Amino acid sequence: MAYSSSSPIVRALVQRIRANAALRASLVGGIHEGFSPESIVNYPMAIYVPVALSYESTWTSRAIVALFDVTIYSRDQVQASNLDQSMLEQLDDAALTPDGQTSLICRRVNDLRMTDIDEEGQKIYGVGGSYEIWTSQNS
Amino acid sequence: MATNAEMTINWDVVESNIRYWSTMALEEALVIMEAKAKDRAPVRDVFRHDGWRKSPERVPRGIMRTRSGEIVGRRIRHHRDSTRDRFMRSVKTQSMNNREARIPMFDSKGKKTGTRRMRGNPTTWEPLLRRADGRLTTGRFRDIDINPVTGKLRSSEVNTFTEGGKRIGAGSGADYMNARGRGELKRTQDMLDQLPPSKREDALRRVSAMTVEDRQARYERLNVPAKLRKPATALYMNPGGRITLGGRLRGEIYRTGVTNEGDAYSGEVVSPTEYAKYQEYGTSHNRAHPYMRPALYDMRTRLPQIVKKTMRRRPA
Repeated sequence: MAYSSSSPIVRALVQRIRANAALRASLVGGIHEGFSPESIVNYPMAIYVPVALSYESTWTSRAIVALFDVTIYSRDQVQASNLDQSMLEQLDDAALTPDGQTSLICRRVNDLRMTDIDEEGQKIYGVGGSYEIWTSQNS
Repeated sequence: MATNAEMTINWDVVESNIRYWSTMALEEALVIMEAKAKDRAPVRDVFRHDGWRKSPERVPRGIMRTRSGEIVGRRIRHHRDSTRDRFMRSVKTQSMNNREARIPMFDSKGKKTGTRRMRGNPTTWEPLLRRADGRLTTGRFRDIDINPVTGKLRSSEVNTFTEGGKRIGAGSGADYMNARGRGELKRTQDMLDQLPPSKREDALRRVSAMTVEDRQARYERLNVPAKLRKPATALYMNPGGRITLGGRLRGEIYRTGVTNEGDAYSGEVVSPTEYAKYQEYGTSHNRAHPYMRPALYDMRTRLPQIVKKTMRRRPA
């Protein structure tokens, strides 16, 4: 059987975020992959960036070690922090279901915080974290 | 006759060897990680590359991003044709996403036999030229650098492409730039033209190495007209003192030596550029282009292998 790539991991991650109805409803701006928040009109929004997708192969199996940055952007710092807490609860130690792969770990490994000012002079707060995801698949 | 085999182990020597080879392994890992970080570091896109997605046959002249798959393909082709692959020399790394391209394949008589799909990370920039016989070829591209005295593109004077001693084309660096690259160069050259020659080199050096605040103060001192005061951020003075267009983030990545505290050995790969974190993590204006952490994650699997391989070597 052929190995699958990291695409099922990305899908599983997004599915997991969207499974939380309250979180999904709160993210008015949507959930985007590797996007510039400035081009989005509606806040709050979530952006996930695949940082590393490394393969570790043995003779009969393959593990993928993935690192994702998931950041909430909002005009309101408190709102960003609250949504990030919801995201943490949804993803930390979660059992993801990537097609054709077994989820081993999904764990937050560090926090990310940033403050930026857009062209209109308004502040944008980014609060989030990096999540490490390990999956395994057999040949 | 009985024989007695006696072996004495000098544990001090063993420990010293393990420490020595651990240091060697870590240094090797740091070299690889630095290369990986440089390979992934985003570099300002100032070149025209209007042909990389379309069939190269349709491109009269432009920059082609050469992917690792293409380089391998060329190597195979040149090996088959028993010709030397001149493109493999001095390949500079360039970070881009993993993309697909159709690579034209030729038989030994130079006749196109079809195309081949390849994927891989683009690894270098190369000018794509059409030769007199209609075949496309790629030439080596020199660093685009600026003569600090004249303020002109140096590469415009010398960029001639030859194959087998025969001149097949020529062009200046500016010919291969997109509007952004040309605009940034023009802005810089306009600024330099405002200055006496004795101040040009200093101004360029400062412009390429200063912080935004320092740069503004410098403009004030030099009385640079307001319309030219946009920072020419594409300029970068590399460690050799040459001023090049783009590649500052990549050029400033370096590694430290290996140090130890007791049994813990450590070394660092550093990206000291002030906007490095904005590229790594993104801002509200720009998406993230991670390059340090992917290099680190790649090394996680490779480091144990390097240590194992190094430990198997005989002590010096």
